Amino acid sequence: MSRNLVERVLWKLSVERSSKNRFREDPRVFLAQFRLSEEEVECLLSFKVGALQCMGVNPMLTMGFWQELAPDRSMRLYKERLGAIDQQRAAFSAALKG
Amino acid sequence: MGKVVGAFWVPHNPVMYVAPEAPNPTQREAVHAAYAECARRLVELEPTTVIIVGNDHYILFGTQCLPRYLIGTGDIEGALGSLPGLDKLVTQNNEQLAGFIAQHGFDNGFDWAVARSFSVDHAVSIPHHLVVKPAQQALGYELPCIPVYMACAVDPFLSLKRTAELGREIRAAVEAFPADERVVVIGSGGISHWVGTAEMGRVNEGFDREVLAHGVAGDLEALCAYSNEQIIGRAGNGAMEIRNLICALAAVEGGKGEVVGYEAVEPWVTGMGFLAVKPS
Repeated sequence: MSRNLVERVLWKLSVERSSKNRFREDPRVFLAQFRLSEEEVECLLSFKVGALQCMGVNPMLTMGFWQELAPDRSMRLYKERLGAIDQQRAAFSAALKG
Repeated sequence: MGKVVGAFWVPHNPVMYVAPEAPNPTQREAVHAAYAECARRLVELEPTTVIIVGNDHYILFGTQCLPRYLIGTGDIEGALGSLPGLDKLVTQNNEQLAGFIAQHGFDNGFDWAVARSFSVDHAVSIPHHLVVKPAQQALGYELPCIPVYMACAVDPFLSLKRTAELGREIRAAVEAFPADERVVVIGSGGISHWVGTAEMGRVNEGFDREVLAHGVAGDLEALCAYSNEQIIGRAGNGAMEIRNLICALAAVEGGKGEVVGYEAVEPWVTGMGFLAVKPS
């Protein structure tokens, strides 16, 4: 995985409104403009935030990506995707968008 | 000749604004009281300029450019990323002093990245909102604000040793400045918090109190002895922001701290420590 390229994509999706809109319209078309591998594209399309972090992607970017663009923006689900154990899911607050 | 007359450690926790009612009333009132006490003590220092040392959160700087340490020498606006209840930052820089600090650094082995205009994020706007702004109201005049950003949250990280050196360099530059400035440095950040990871919501009070104790003792050597792995493992990726605290402490000649407040606020996902630093 090209961590640098994936972080570039996620950063654009965090801060650029036009990129967010294009991703929402057709994520596969948006991602096609970058030289991402199939695995990387799949991780992004499926919001595999745990896999992204395992590959070294900065957690602030995965969280921002999830909060902005995931179909279900529940932070509880986000933490489940990261493999959080029960206690870790409980150690969580409504503070963070559910 | 200028002087660094004091420093503070304060958190810049955006969750406070997103979910202000999340902690129990006692805890959230204690946090706000700590900010207010820092503001009161800032007034007592009769400052003429504030330097806020913070860090980007992968908002301001992208993969195309990740500055190790940056000083804003021109106009400032912000914050990027709106938070409910947090007014858009309106402040002026002390352009003469900021430019002098940059040049002093260039002349002494500190190659600052320079932003001649700068949009800050919450690392500057929250301490400004909760400490500087109330102090300004009490003082009756505007406090110019110089933003400094260090690589804490996005790698490659600035080494802890270098953050201390940068604090000392800021002090040397202020002292070499021709005008009689009274400068206060606010280290903005932490302490323990996990951001965007499975552990998010955990707080390590033991680590936080250890860091505060080092601040009370003015023990920069102990603070700089932590490895990145130790910090992230014990206190989370967010605790890498102790760099900002180290820089602020080092900016004060023989600085030693007094704990103004500490709350382990799990609903706000952060161990929130407050320290006031005075010169020896």
